[in-house]
Amino acid sequence: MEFAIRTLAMPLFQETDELLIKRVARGDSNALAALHDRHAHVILAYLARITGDEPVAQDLLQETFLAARHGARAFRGRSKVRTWLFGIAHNKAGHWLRRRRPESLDEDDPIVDSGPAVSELADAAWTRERVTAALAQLPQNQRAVLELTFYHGLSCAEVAEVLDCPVGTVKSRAYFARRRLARLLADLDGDE
Amino acid sequence: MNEHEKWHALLPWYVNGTLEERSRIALEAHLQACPTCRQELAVWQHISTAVGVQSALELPHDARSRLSALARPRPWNDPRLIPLLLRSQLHVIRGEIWPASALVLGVGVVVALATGAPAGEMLPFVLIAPIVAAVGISFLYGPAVAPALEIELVTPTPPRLVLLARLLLVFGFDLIVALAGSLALTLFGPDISLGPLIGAWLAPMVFLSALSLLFSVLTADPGAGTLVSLALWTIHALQQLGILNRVLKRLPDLSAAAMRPWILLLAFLIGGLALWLSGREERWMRGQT
Repeated sequence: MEFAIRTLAMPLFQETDELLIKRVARGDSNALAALHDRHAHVILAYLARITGDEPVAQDLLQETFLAARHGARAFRGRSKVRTWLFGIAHNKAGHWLRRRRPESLDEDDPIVDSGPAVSELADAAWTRERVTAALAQLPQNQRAVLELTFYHGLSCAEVAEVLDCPVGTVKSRAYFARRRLARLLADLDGDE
Repeated sequence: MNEHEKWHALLPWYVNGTLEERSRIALEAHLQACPTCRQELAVWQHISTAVGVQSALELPHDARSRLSALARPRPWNDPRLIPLLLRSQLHVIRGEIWPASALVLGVGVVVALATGAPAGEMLPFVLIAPIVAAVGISFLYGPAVAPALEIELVTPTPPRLVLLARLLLVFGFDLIVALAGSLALTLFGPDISLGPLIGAWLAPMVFLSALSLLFSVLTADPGAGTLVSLALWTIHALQQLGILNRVLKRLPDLSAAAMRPWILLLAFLIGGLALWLSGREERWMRGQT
C-alpha cells in the first residue's frame, strides 16, 4: 500500500533528473542517492547483461555512479540523464571487457554469414532460452544495441549517444546482430 | 542498400515504439504492401520478445550505502590523504621533468663554477633556476596529463587539490635541487654567500612558475605557459646583461632586492587565480565522461 502511494505521488513531487544532476555537481550526496535509486536497477541490468558477470556488474555500477558524480559538472544536457548514465556504464563495461579479453569482442562484425536466411527459422527457434544463449555469443557492441533497444527501450539516436557512434553504425550493428543471431540459432538447431 | 534494407534498418525501433512519427507512418504504409518486410518485422518481434523479457536483477541491498560511503567527500584536513594524493600524482607527472630539471640546474652550477663568474646576482645559475621551474610547472595542466582523468573520475578528490599536489611535487623538487645547487656554489665557489644567492633566484622562480601555471590553465596548453615565461625571462636576462639597455632599463628589474616582496605577493595572487580557474572547468574533459 505504502509503495502504491509513493509510486502514485512521486510524479507530483519528483525532481527532474536534470535538476538532480545540477545538485550532484554542487556536491549534494542526497541527489546522487536519489539518482541511484531511480536508475541503478536498469544500469545494473545492462552491465550484468553486457559483462555476463553479476558481481562485476555491481562493482561497475558503483564506478558508473562515482564517475557520474565527478562528471556531473561536464553534463551539458544534450541527452537525457539516463542515456548519459548508460554511456558511462557502457564505457566502464567496455574497459572491463577489454582488460579481460584483450582480443576484444567489440569489433564491427564484417562477417558475411552463409547460414540460412532468418526467415527460414521456425517460430519455435526464437525461445527466450535459445536467444539468451545466442545473445551471449554476440560481439559486445552488437549485444549492446539489442539490449539498449529492446530491454531498455532506447531510440536509435539514444543508442548512438550511449555507444558514442553515428546512428548509421547503430543500424548496421543491429543488422549484423540479427544476421549472427539467426546463424547461431540455426547452429543450435544443428547441435540438437 | 536496396529498397528493403532501407526499411529493415528502421524495424528494431519500430518494434520498440521509439520510431519518430513520420518514419513510422511511411514504414507502416510500406509494410502493408511488402511481404518481405513483414517477414523481417516478425523476426524483429521475436528478437524483441526474447531480449526484452528477461528476469530483472535485484540490486544488492547495500548498493546505495556502498555508493554513499564511496561518494562521501573526505575531509580536506585528513592528513592521511596527503601522502596518498602525492603518490598518485607522481605517476601522472611526465617522467622527463625530474631528470631534465636536475640536469639543467646541475649544468648551471658547473658553468657558474667553471667560469668563475662574479659573486651574487649575475651568476648563470640565478638566471637558469627560475625558468627551469617555470617550464616544468607549465606541463602540470592540460590534455597531456589527461590519463589522470579516469582516476579523478572515480576518486572524490577535487581537481584543484589534485593540481595543487602536482604543483607541490614539481616546485618542491626544483626548490630542493636549486637549494642544493646554491649550497654547492657557496661551498666551492669564491666569495658567494648563501642568503643573497637564494634571495636572487627564489622570488623570480615563484613568480615565473605562477605565471606559467596561469597561462597553462587559461589555454589548456603547456606550450603557452612555457612561451610566456621564456619570453619574460629572456627580456629579464637581456636587461641583466645590459643588452638593449636603452629600451629595457625602463622596465622593472625582477631580481632587484626591493622588488622581491611585491613579486612574491603577485606570484601568490597569480598562483591562487590559476588554481581557482583550474577547478572551474577542465576544458578538455568536455564530453569525455
